[in-house]
Amino acid sequence: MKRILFIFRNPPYGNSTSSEGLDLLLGASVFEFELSLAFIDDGVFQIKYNQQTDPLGLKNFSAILAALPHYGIEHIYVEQESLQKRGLLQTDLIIETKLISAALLSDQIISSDFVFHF
Amino acid sequence: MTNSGEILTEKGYLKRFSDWNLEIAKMLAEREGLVLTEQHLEILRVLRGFYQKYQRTPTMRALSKEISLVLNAEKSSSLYLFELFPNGPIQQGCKIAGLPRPAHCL
Repeated sequence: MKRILFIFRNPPYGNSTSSEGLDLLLGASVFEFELSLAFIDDGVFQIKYNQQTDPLGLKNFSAILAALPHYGIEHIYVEQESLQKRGLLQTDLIIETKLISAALLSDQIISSDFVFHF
Repeated sequence: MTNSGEILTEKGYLKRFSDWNLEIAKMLAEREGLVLTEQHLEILRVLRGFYQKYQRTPTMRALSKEISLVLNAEKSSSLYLFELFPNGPIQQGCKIAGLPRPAHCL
């Protein structure tokens, strides 16, 4: 089974990068791939708890991230330092994640067959 | 009942999620040639619950999972769901549940 790693490094709103990445991720979940997901840099804001998008007139597309296990996506990583630098704790996140160091993330990248970067 | 043209999109989807009620569900089902039963309704409620929580229409896999969590595993099988919604639990189910048209077709 091919291993695909999705890396999200952009904040959830401001442009459509993150939401397009999410579309691809959920689309890929229909097929037989082993999917992993990593949030780094401002990407960690995508899984921040309690996002208020109504004043922006936008849909809270991150809400679906809480349902990732429904899609068979079980390996969800957050890069440690990215979280720390933004003053966030794992308990501020809408989904259970594994903390990972930048070095371990490189290993994940190397061991994946494909890496998508949004 | 209001004229369906006012509350439905051109493709027959409910314009506003919050407009949904039993009467509207029956009307939408009738347009699909289905007579709603309690079995249909419990699936429709799961679909609406999913959309409310996660702000997105589920794929088949995600719907099955949600049904097995909210109802039970037997009701999450494709076979059972296709018996209830012959034109597709997602496509037809979302329509009758008052969800927007699924962006994906998988």
